[in-house]
Amino acid sequence: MRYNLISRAVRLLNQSHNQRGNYLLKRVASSSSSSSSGSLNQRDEQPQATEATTEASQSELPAREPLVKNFFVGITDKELLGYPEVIAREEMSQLKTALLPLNNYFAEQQSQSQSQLESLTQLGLYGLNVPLEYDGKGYNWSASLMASESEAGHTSLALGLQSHRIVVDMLRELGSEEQKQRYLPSLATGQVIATDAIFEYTPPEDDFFGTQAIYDTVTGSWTLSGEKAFVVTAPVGTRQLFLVLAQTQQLNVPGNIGMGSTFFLVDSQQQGVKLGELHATFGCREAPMRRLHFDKVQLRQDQILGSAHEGNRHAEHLVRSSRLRTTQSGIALAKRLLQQLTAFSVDTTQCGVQIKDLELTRANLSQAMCSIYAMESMLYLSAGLLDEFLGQDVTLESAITKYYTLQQLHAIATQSLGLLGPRSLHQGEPAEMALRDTAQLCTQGESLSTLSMFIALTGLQHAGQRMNEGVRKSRNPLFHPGHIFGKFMGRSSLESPKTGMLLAENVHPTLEPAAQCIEHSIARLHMAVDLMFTRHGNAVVERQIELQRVANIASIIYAMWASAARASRSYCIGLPLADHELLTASAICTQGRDDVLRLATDVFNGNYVNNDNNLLRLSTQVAKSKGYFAVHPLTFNF
Amino acid sequence: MIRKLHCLLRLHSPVNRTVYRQRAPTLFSRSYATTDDANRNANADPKSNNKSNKRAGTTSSSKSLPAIRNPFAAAQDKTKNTYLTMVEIFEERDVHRRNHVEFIYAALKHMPDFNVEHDLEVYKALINVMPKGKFIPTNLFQAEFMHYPKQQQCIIDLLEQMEDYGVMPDYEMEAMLLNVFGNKGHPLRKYWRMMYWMPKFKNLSPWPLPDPVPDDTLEIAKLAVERMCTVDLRSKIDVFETREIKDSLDDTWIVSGMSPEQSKLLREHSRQKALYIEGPFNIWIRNRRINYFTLRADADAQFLAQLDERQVDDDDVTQIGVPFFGRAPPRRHNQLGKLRSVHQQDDGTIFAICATGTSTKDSLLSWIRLLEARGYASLGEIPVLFRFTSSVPAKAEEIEGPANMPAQTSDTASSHREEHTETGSRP
Repeated sequence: MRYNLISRAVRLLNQSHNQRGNYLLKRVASSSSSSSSGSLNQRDEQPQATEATTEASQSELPAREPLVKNFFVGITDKELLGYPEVIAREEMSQLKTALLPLNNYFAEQQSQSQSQLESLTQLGLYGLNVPLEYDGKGYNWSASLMASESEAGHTSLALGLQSHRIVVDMLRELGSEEQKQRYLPSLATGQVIATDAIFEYTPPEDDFFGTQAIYDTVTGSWTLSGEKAFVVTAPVGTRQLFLVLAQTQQLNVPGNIGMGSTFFLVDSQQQGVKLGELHATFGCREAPMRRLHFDKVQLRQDQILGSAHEGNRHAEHLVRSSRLRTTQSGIALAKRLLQQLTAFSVDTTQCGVQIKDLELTRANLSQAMCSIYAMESMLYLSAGLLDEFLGQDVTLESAITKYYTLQQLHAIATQSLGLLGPRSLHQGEPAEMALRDTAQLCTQGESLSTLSMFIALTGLQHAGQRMNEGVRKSRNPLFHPGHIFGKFMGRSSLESPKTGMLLAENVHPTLEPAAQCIEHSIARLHMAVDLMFTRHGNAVVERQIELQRVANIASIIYAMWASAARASRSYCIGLPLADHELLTASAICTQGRDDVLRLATDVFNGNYVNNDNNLLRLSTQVAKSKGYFAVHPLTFNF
Repeated sequence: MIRKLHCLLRLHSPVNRTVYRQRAPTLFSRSYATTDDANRNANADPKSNNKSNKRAGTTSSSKSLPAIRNPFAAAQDKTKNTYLTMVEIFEERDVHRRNHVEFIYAALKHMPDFNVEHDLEVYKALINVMPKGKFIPTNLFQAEFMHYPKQQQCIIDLLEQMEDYGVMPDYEMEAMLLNVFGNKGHPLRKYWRMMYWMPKFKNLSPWPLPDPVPDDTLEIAKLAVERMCTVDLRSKIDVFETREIKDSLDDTWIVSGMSPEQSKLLREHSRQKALYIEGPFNIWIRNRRINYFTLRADADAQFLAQLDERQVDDDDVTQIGVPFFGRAPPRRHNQLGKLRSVHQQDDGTIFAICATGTSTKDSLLSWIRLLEARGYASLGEIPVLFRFTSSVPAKAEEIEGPANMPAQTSDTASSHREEHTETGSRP
C-alpha cells in the first residue's frame, strides 16, 4: 500500500541519487533491505497485495524497526519517509460518504440538548473502532481518527467519546474472544459507554495506586476497593463500563517484587460501584468528570482484561491509544484557534493598518500553521504505521505526537491572548473557552513533563541496549585506548555532523535542504545521547533537565520527519496548495534544525556552562525557605 | 606613602609596640569577666600589671584606679539608666574631663554587669565623653603618627568590644568619630572596616534567630529542635505536656521533632530490636545551651549493606526503566524501590529528637508514652533503653537521679557557677 504512486514519483525524481549509492539501512525485520533494486521488486509485488486485502487490515506487513527509537541510535528508516496511505482509494471515498452525516451533524448542531446521546448513537460514533463482526464500523486507527475529526471540534464531547474508544481499543487488542462477545456489541451501539478510570487524586507514597484488588483463593474472585478521580462519565441513566487499573499483589510473592497492577472491566451496575462528586474543572466543562468509589466490588476472574498483574505492560496499549486520540482533540482545538485568529486579524484594522499585515502577526500565524501541520502529519504517520505494519512499535511516536501537539497548542493558545488583547479573556469568548480547554488537555492525565520524561527514557532505554558496548568503552578509556583514539580521530562535530543517511533520496528534491536538516538533527541527537551515556552512565535517568532536552530534540525531529514526508507526498501527487505545504515543511525543518542544535549544544556544554547547576543550587534554598527567599529590595541592614 | 611607612613602623618595631601596650594595657587583655575575675587575672599575671600600674597608672582592676573612684563597681542599681547617668555625671563634673580614657575603659568593662553590652546607645554615650576637635590632627605627620594614641586606642578598643558583642555601629557614630578624631583618625578606619564586614556577617547564619532571642526556655528549645530538624524539610515540631500522662512525676514540657519519614521508619522498626534514648547532647542557641535527646536504634545493617553491596554498575546502560502514568521516574539507586533516608546513618537510625523542660529520665519516659499515644503503638512493645552519655559525668548521674532537678538550660556567662551548684546540691 505504501509503495504506490507517490513513492514511484519520488523514486523517478531521485533516479540520479539512487544510482550514486546503495545505502544499506541497518534493519533486521524487513526483507526490503532498501537497496533501490530490492525496493523496486517489492513495489511490483505490492499492488497485488493491495488489491487482495480488504480494509480490515488482515494482511499487515511485518513490523519494522521502531522509527523514532532508532533516531536515538542514529539509524533512520528512510522508507518511512513515504507517507503511509493505509486507507485504499475506494475505501477512502466510501469513508468520505460515510462521514458526511457526521460532519453535517456537527456543522449545523450548535445547541446541544438532551437528544444528544441519541443522535450520537444513531450516528454510530460509539462504534467507530469496533470491528465489523461485533456490529461496529470496523475502522482502523487512521480511519477512526479521521472519523473522529468531525466531533473533535467539541472538546468536551470528544473527551467522552475518546475515553470510550480507548477502552474499545484495549478490548480489541487484549480482550479474550468471550470478553469481546460480551462487551463489544453493546459498546458499538452505545448502549454501554466505556470509560477508563486510571488516575487518582492522591496516589499513595510508595505504591502505584491506592485502588486495590485482592484475590480470594477460595471463591476465585477479586475484591476491588478504592477510589478513582477525573473519570469522564456518561449522562445519568446510561450503563457504563469502567476500565479500572488497580494495584494487585501476586500470590506467594511477597514485597515489592510481587507488586503489580491489573486492568479490570467493571460494570457501573455492579454492587459497590458508586459515582462520587462532580469535579468542577477549569476547561471542558460540558464533560462531567467525577470521582468513582469502589466499595468491595466483587469481580470475577473473567473481568480481568489481559492477564493479572501485568497491568504495567498492558498500560502501554492504553497510553498509546489515549495519546493518539487526545492528539486528535488537540489538533481540532488548535485549528479552531488559528481560524479565529486569522479571522480576527483579517477583520481588524488598527490605525489604518490591517492586523494581518503586521509582520509580527504574520509570523505568529505562520508559526501556528507550521505547528498544526506538523501535529497532523505526526498523528496520521503514527496511526499509519500502526495500521500498516503488524505489531509495529509506535510507543515513542504516539507519545511524541501528544507531547508536541499539546506543547504547541499551549503556545498557540497563549499567543492568541496577546493578539486578541484583553477581550480574549471575557467569559464566554471563544478564545477564553479554547484557552480553558487547552489547559484541561495539557494537564489532564499525563502531564507534559511526565510525557517528556517518558519520551526520553524510552528512547534511552532502546539506545542503551544497543550502545552499551561503546558506552562501556568510552567510560573506561584507559582500558580501551583504541576506542577513544578512534573517537578523537572522528571528524564529525556537533556543528557539522557527518551523515550518510541520504534521506533526500526519499523526498521531493525541493525538500533536499529539509532532509539535510533532518539528517543533521538525527546525528546530533545520537551524539547527545552518546555523550550523556558517557558522562553519566546509567545515572542518566536522574538527569531530568537533560532528559527533557533530549525529549524535545526527539519530538522536533519526528515533527520534521513527518512534515517532510507529508509535504513530499502532497507535492508529488499534486494536492491543492501543495507548494505551500513544501514551504511549511521547509520552515518546520529549518526551525527544527536550529532548535535541535541549540538543545544539543546545551547538552554538550554540560551543567556548569548551561546554567543548570545554578538552578539546581538555587532550588535547595527555595525548598529550605519554603518559597521565595529574597527579602524586600528596600530592606536596611543597619 | 607616609601612611605605609607608619604601618611598617608599627609592624616591625617592637619598641613602638610595647609603647602602645604599656600605655593601654587593656588593649591586649580584654576581659568581659566580672571584677573578681579580673582581679584574679591580675594576680595571675602580676608582672605585666605591675608594670602598667607604674607606667600608665591604670589597670583592669577598679581598685588600682588612681585618680578617680570607679563608680560602676559601686553602683547599687545596675540598669542602663544608672549607667547613662554616671556617664552624664562624669561629663558634667569638670570641664577638663580628666582621666576620661580611664573612665571609658572602666565603663566598657562593666557593661555586662549593667546588661548594656548590646546597646549601641551606650557606646555612643561613651564616645561622646571624648572632647570634640582637640584630637583632630592638623598636619600630615600628626595624622600618620597616630595623634593622641592613647585616646585613639581607647576608642579602637571600644569599637573592638562592640564588634565582639556583635553591635553594629551606625552613621551617627561615624559623625561622632569624625568630630573627635577627624577623617584620618584610626578609630575611623576601624569603624569603616567594621562597616564593611559586619553587615556581611550579620545575616550569614543559615538558621537566623529572632532578634531579640526569646528568654523563655521553652521557646529556645523549640528554636533548637526546629534548627536540628532542618535536615528533613518535612519535620514537624510538637510540644507536649507531661501532664497528659497519668503517672508522670515531672510536670514539664517536651519539644519533640519528628518527620513523616521518621514515623515510617519507626513503624517499620522491628519489635525485637531495642530503641535507645541517648543524650544529653548540647546545642547552642546564641549564648544559651539546650540539652536534647535522640530516640534512635542501631543502624539497620542489613538494609545498609543491601544498599552498599549492590554494586551498581554505572557503566551498564541496558537496564533503564520507564515510568507509566506520571509516576516519579526511576532513580538509579531506587530500582528496588528502596532509598536511604537522611535519618539512616551508618551509626544508627534516628527516629526523633526532643528537649524536655527538666531533662530527667522521667520526662523522657513521658515522651515515649506520649509518642505511643500518638500513633506509634509499637513503642509499647519495643524495649526502650536509656543510654546517657555526657561530657560531664556528673550530669548523667544527676539526670538519673531524683526528678526535681533544675532546668537544663543555663546561661553561658554563669555556666560554671551553675554546674558547681548542681554538683553541690546532689546528695
